[in-house]
Amino acid sequence: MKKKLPFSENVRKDILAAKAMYPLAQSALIPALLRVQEENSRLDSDSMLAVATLLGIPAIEVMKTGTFYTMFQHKPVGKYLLQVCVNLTCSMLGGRHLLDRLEKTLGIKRGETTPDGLFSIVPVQCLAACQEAPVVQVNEVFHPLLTEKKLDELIASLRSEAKK
Amino acid sequence: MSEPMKTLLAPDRNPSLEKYLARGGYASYPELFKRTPKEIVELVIASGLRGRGGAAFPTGKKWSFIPEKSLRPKYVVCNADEGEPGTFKDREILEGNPHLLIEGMVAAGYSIGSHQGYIYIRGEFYAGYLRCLEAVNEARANGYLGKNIGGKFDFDIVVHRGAGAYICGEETALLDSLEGRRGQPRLKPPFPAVEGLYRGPTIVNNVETFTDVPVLLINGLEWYKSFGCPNSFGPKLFAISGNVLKPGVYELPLGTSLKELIFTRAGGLPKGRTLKAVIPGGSSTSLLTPDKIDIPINYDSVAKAGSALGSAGIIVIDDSNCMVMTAKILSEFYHHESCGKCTPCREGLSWIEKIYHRLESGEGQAKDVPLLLDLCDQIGGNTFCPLADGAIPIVRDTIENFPGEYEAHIAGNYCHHEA
Repeated sequence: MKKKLPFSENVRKDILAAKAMYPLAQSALIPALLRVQEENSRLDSDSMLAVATLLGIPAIEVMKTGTFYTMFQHKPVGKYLLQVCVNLTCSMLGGRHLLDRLEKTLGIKRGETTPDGLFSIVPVQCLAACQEAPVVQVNEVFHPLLTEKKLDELIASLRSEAKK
Repeated sequence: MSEPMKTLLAPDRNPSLEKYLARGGYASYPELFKRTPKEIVELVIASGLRGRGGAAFPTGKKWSFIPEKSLRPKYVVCNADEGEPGTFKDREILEGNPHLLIEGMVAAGYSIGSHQGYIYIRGEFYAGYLRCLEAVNEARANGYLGKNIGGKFDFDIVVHRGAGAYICGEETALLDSLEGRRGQPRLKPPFPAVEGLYRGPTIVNNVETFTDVPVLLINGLEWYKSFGCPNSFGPKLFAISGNVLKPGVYELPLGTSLKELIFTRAGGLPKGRTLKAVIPGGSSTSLLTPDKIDIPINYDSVAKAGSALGSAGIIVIDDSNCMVMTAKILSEFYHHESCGKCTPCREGLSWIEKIYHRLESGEGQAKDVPLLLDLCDQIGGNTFCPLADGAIPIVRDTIENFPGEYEAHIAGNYCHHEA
């Protein structure tokens, strides 16, 4: 019996389309893993093995690449991944206070996920948005010029968005 | 320079193709195709354009290294892995004016005889990725990219996302990453011009570098060289952030006064604060103390002042900041971003970070400062790529210029600053 793929048919098609864009199948690996993660919110070994099979590359190559880049999540993460820049300009303008604030309001530490599965907090390095420091990236979106008050509002709006 | 040329920040950011054409977009193509590829390389050499990513290598010279005949396809790769702390100029182009980048990459492809380009864009720049993808599709649909451009040249571009790794800004690490591997620098030689992407001759240039080429083609050599000064010609994007009232990206001729940029254009410091230091070219460049900022910002003057123009990401630091904390923050960054390939970087940067944590938590010892300097000596120049070399200036410079702050940390009166 054919094993069920650990991602949707659309993801499978997108991975094959990416593979066709490059002279070397492995070039499609990072785009493929990003696509899987977009759907599954993280990379588990089943999905990484499936990507290896689809691209026709050794599983070890997928493991090596999949564990190198900071954007790849291996542990389950919340619906909203709160990525707080802790590099220089953001820290100078209060970024690390935002990190503390998040830990306090959400009752979790950096690297953890709230029990309701809504939020995860991770400190990240320079997002190249220093003119808008301090910045918090939520999933794919940059939230510029944050203050503690604006951060509280952001969390509240994400909570109400999640309820919809 | 009255009109911004490269970012075309004003009047409308992020123009549609139609609007871009209306203001002179893709006008470089006739200028490009009426010349031979060799003439384009010579023009770029004559312009004095130097790589805008940080290393400032002469662009035309880089292109001239590509062999004319090659058994393998040649490639043009755009390094859009912007991530040097304090640098955010390329994002402005990627999100605000991607067609200009496409124009520049086509010119590069034509000049070296390549038919395939890649924009390697850092994974976090999702908005920029979508915008570039859209622009590439728009350009292709309208004959500015793809088959038979200008009736004589084929060139296409794939927009490729990274997944978070500062090291991929190093060109050979970027190529490995583009081939789906870990982003770890390759041994050179062979240089990418001889053996790069998929082992074919490859040029890798920064986003902003490409955007200078159409501007040069349209306006000519004389116009281009009217900006800047010998060794530093052309318009330039300066990203300024930190303790200034108007942080942002400013497009100015090379050679603009650093002091004027900080105190006039960027609005100066918040009220009541005084300047403590300026990092002029991204976090890997040396600090300039306030007595050294009355200089024109060009490659030579900044080097003469003891630093480097680097990526032109200027971070302004005022007296509300602790310099030990500043060094700690950057040490955490470099350690985090070390790819782990070579020992001095992987182990040395970890050690430096640990010492800073000790200093910041009040457990610093008198021997820590000489130990930091010793580590800098042992790491500097002994690593595979420049990442670790970039980690050293902030350590050495803060120790040299602000020894009192280190002494205070060690004496137990540590960090009353906010950072």
